Amino acid sequence: MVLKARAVDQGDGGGKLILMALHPAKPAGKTSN
Amino acid sequence: MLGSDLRIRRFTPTAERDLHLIPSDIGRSINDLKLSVDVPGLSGLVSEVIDTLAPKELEVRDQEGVWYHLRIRPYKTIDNHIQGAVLVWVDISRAKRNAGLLQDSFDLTQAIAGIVTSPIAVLDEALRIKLGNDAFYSHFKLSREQVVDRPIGRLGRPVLDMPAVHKFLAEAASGEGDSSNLTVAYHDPHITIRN
Repeated sequence: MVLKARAVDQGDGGGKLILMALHPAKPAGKTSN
Repeated sequence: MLGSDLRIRRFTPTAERDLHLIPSDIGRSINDLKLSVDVPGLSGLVSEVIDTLAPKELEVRDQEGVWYHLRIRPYKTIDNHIQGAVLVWVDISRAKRNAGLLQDSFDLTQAIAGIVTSPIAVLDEALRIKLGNDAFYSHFKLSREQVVDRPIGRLGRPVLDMPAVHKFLAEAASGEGDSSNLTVAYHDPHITIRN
């Protein structure tokens, strides 16, 4: 699986939230970025 | 401020403006006044505070839709005699509006996450999960109650307790790191980690 994460600033001193998502990894042999 | 007889002793310029009071209202009973904010049973509430000395707090709305937090507390003189009650009105419309917007945003986020088939979770900076979608709960075979507000490393799913995962998420939160993806290989998300 590939874990992706992005931080989102809540503003007004509310700190950050982290959005994480899991996606299936591309099969071996395929090119990947 | 009201006396024990529930007559107005004095008020601030803000109360004059917000409650539509006029100087000649001083000395009048609140039972005889038509305040811009309708508080059902106000005189009874004030009498109760004076009798019991227990403050009361409630949220009320005026005719124009402005919300106030109303605090009624006993008025004590410096020698501790009860001479009536003090009513403090604080405009909380903005806080109410912001809370509504926040709830709307949360509901929208939850709705979007709900239709996505990949496991998704929202964490705070301490890596506690604030929200997961159905795919996340299903993938890790956990219920919402087992997940929400718990640190990601304490869900009993080894893959979520990997130092590399924590480091990756912490770097994402701080804006550090040069990659936004981390490949994690495992057979079963709630049993085995391959590497």
